[in-house]
Amino acid sequence: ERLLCQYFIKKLLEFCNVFEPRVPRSAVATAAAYFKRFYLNTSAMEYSPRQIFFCCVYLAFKIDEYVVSVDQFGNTITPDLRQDVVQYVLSHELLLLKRLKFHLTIHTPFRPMEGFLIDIKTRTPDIPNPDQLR
Amino acid sequence: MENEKEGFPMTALREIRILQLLNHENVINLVEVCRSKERGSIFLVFDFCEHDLAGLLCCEEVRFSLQEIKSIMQQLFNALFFIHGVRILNRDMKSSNILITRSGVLKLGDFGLARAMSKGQVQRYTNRVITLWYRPPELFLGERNYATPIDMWGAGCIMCEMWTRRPIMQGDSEQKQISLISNLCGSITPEVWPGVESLELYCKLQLPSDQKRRIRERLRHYVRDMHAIDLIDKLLVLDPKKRLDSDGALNHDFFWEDPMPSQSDLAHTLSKVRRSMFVMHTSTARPGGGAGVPGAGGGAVAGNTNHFHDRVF
Repeated sequence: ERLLCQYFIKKLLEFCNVFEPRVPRSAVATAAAYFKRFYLNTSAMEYSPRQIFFCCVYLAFKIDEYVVSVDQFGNTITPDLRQDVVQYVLSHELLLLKRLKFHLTIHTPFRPMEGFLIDIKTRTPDIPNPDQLR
Repeated sequence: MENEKEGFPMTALREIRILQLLNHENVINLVEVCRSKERGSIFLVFDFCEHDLAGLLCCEEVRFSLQEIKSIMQQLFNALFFIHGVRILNRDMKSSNILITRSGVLKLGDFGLARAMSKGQVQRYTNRVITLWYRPPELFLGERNYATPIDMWGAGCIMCEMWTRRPIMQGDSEQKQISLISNLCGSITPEVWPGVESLELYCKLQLPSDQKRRIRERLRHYVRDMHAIDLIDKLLVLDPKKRLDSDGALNHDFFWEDPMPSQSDLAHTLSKVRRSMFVMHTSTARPGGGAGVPGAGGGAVAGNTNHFHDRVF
């Protein structure tokens, strides 16, 4: 079961990578964290991870202030599945929220990382191109 | 909930997330999120507060002394200082969103329109926020990259209300509201507000010209304390860049001169108030606490009744 979840996390990352327009990394991390948390107290037999991961991604986008409408969201999914997935996402969003116990804040390392880069830029001007470190 | 096209409304998600982040004495505390069985609505359960400021001000029997007003305002600025410090805008300042417990502790409530600010890049926030009566001039002029000063304007309006006992500028349309503002704070011109001419709607709106700034004269009948007038004057500045911030307000002489702010007096006064004072209970003078304002009031969490359920003490 754990293997199954791990597989779908990989899927989730792939999905976000092909998503148009490009997704901020923090949103992807948030989505993955939601997914893991959801399956902490839920069995993969109960709710199919295949569907839930779409939910997680969609919710993470909303939380990360990365505005995507449902239709836009659906466009990335293969057409024959699109309807079902969108339906599923909308109807299971509440369930996801509840299982997450409404703990929505995920502290991803990306923001502190940005801050650290800015620090490097201001304090050590002799490093030629700090942006490369990213 | 059923008629939400995009699933769970974004504003509600923001509200929940922001409330969970905030943990401060003067900010309302989210106890729990519950879900009703039959209709799928969500309830946000908050700490129980007996009164709200609008209700208290409506009620003739409640009289605040200068110390008490100072205490209320100080707690309000404390709350604003805290939320602005973590880069969150309330965007819905008004007296009915200021809750006060029986023991005189102020809680800033209703983060239904709040959002986090992101640093650096120019933002395009919506400018259809804040109840009309408390909306600062830059929003009328189409500014979309606003910041913390928008909440400070609201705080200034609320501070005036402490003496006038009713909202100072009660416009019923955007045009009316902006002329009321000009009437009180003087005309909006590039001289008092450098850069105003670059705002989208500056040329499109009819702005009253040749109005003088009259805050001090107008308030003299209500407010005796000179420092209070000075603080209000600095909060209701047209140019958001020159408006006092929450830190500046807390350091203002108003809070550091005798009589000093006193929370215990406030608790004492409130202990005499038997009934719970909410606008929705007491309102006869105010039409629904300004909730009918387009774009602001209705924007709050649709289908979610987030009101104040009793908490077991």
